[in-house]
Amino acid sequence: MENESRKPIIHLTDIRKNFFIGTPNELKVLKGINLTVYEGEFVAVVGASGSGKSTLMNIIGALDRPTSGGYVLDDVDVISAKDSELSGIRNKKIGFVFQTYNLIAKTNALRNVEMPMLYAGVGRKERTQRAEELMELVGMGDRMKHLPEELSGGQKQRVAIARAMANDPAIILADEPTGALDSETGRLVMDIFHKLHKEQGKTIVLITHSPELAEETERLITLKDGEIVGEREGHGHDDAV
Amino acid sequence: MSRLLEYLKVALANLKTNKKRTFLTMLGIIIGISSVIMILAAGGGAKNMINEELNSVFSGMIYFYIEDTGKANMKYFTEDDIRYICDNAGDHLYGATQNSSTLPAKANTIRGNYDIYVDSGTPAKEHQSTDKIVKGRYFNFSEYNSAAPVCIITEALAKKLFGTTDVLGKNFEINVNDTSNEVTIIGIRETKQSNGLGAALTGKQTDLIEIPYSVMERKFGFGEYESEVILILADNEYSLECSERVQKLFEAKHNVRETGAFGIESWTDAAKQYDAILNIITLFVAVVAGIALLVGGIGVMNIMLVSVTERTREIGIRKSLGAKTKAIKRQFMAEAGLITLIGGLIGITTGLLLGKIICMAIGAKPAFSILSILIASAFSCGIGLFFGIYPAKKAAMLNPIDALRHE
Repeated sequence: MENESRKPIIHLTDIRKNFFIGTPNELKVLKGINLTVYEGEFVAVVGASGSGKSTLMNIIGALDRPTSGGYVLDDVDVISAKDSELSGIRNKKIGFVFQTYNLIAKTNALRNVEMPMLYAGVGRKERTQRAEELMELVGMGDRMKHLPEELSGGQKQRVAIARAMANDPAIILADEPTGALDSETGRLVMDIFHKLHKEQGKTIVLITHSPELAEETERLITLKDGEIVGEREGHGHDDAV
Repeated sequence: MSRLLEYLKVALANLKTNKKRTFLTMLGIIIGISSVIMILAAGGGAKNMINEELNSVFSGMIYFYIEDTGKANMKYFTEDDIRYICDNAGDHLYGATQNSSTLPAKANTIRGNYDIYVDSGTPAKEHQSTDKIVKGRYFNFSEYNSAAPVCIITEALAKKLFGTTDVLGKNFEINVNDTSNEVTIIGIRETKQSNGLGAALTGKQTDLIEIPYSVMERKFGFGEYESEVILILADNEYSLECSERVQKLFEAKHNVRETGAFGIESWTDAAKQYDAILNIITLFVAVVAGIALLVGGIGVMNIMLVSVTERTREIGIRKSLGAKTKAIKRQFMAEAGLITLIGGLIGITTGLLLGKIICMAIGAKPAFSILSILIASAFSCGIGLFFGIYPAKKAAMLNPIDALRHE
């Protein structure tokens, strides 16, 4: 198959996540997820709320550890990584885009974009230069010094995407990135993801419950009650937009 | 280094966003540090001032007393004994004088009736005070022996009694012990600017005349023989040598073979006691100020804990962006450190200023020691770091997921 020749970026094997372990109300949220995402892929994870999407995203994003299972991210074994190594993985391998933007308040847009580079130890000049380039890339070149509270939702999300790109991560992990935006602004944000995917060959994992947006990606993974119940190709996205 | 600068910058920006709170937190540190510095400076200044004052009155004096009348073979020092010391004083010693009290008296001049004080002694008494004879001279032994009614007057009293210090040769009547006699002024002693606190401690009078003890005894009928005399030193450094010499002199004169007949107490001994008392007072007040500093430190910890709770979400975001536990810890430490550092600097400045003002009020020269400033600074930074550790650790140990979900 075509996939075999491509390099796997995310490799999950039998990932399980239980909450309230050892109590009568032990909750099995993920029940053995096997998933491989290849370099340069644009994948959507869909499912109803409570299907385990967010938990899966937290595990992929190295924000949380699975109860059991294997996870290799860009040739790094995440399961055996220590806490400080997980910080490094989050910093360099993953770019997060959250539904609620999660920009640092009282800190201007440019500084927000610089932040992952600050934690990576990139020098000041280089940091600012790269942040400025990224702000231009997401079309926010004229609002670099604005504080988050001075920006609209769509603008905030574009800053968040620029921030996610800061350390040129292996994957961009977007959790309902358009969930808090109107459809027009959401469209704009989606277009940026498509641009990053096509022009920069970024691997993107999009978590959404919007069937239309999921359809634009290359592959749809459907989650239900903590299990992958469906996997098929998406319709793709027109360049024309 | 540049990383540290980065942390400090971020910390400063965070503190700026909450100026009022930052200031109130600092206030605790400012009050603590400034009181410590102020108290140490004012305490040191007061100590120096009192020492100086006591020194001007008591330095150069040794109390020489009969420890054991049996062993010494004498009950009190006679006129002859005192004269004997004066005649055989030797190097660095002016002689001896009676340990007589300063007596209240009345002075009658053409300008009116005044309350004054009268001191009496031998010619050696001239050197008991560090205030100099600025006009005329002190009485000598021939006047002393003949009980000549002469006196030395202070500049301050001369102005009071005659309106001028040009009073040499002037006569006026004094009344001591219900007896009146006329005395002639033969010398004027300077009146140094004295400060209230020191004068109160030493009982030093400025409205004072000095007359020969013989005049006091024979003309005013006020004589008291004491088991104690005062040796007047030319140089404090030789106090031990001089007192031993006088002791030997008396042992030979009175044929004393046993030791322990005479005792000595020098000003240095007394000064040490004064110093010890003042040190204890300063230490006690400094400890109280230190407690204020501790409370300030707890204030810093409290506000940092509030800040951690408030910024839990921010911590979660930072962690998701790859901030290591260490980096979060350092950021909060930098904030706590900065609060105490700035608070400390303001506190040091305020403390120095207040110390100066207090010293000016009591008329002392402030004693700022670099050491006390360094200790206070180190203490304030230490407090910032110590009380910053717990909140910083708490922030850093937050689970990124929980922190991100925090509203």
